[in-house]
Amino acid sequence: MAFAFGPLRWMVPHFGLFWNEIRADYPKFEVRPPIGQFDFEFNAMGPEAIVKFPVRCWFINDESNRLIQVQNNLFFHNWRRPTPDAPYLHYGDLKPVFENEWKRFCAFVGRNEMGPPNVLSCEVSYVNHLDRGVGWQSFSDLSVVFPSFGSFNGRGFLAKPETVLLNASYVMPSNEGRLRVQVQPAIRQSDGKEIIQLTLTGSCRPASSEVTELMRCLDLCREWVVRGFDDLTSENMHKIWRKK
Amino acid sequence: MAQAIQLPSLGMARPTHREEEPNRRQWSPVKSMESPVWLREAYDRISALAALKNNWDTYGGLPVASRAILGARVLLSNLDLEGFPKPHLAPIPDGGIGLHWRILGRDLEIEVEASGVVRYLKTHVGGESTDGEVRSLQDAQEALNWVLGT
Repeated sequence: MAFAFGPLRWMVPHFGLFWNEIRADYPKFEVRPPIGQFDFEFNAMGPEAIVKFPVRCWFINDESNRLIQVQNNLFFHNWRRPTPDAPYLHYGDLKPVFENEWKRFCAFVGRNEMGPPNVLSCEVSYVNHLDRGVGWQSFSDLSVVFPSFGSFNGRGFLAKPETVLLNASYVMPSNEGRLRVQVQPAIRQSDGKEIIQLTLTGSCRPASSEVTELMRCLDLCREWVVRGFDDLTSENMHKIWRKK
Repeated sequence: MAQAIQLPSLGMARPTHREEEPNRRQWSPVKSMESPVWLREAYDRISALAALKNNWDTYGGLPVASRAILGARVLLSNLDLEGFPKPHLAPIPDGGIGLHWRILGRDLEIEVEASGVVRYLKTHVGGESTDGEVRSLQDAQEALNWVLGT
């Protein structure tokens, strides 16, 4: 889950100050490159030194299953299953956590005179790893998983493709937002397994930055993600997932 | 004394390759199958090696061990391989997998042994060679960068 907002006057010391407030819950951190396009500036020669080097910080909980990502215009909360046997946390479990963390972030921003964040977009993403050998075998025949996507075989000259990548977007009614679907053949780096990574991201623009409105938008995004997933994937794959 | 690389920590190590923009938001790192272009083929080759039976070389060669398969896959999925040609992938009679690059007179062999231990052998332009253990992804990346002359 994520909110994108207008850039805050968020400087390097704010990362440390914010971490100090959440450190009991998120004792680990990593510094990462920012998401999106940024200007990097460094000028040590002028009358006033300029150092503009945007970063994103990860704050990770003790169990390494929840993560907060912060940069000057984004706030993310991610959950991942730490081991295959760990219980699955559903949206209903995670949304209250995200809401609390967002409120804590907003309180911090307010105390540090950066003003309330002006939220431009709400986002819910589901990242699914479909392991090769579980319901599908060939990267060139994704129609086994996604029956509406077709084969991409040539009419005569081209044989089967080696791999297929797909990006699709669907507009929500009243142009309130979009569901983006990305299908990417990939390798999971933790165990080197071949997977199809299916990412569904619902995003919409809230009417205001009030928490109730933001939560409504998250619910809408989540509904599109769940219904979109169900709509795009095959009955056969549903059977396999139900058994697991 | 050789020490086995802990494969799970290999996977969780800081990625050494360039982070791909579409995957930046997510937490569990993945590598695109599209880059480098030969990655798909290399993975197919590893799968073929995994299917080798006992005595595949008629000299009593052992089947490729699952730890060697895993180690080779984890290496290829975590290293920055942009600009490198496809390695020659071959089974080793004791159950390991060898990855071999030759670039402008430099040879690099990385061997993932059946136990999961990873070793390298560098052969320089003049013919002299050095070898050692690969204890981390960083070690493997440095060996790769050497063969490219960087």
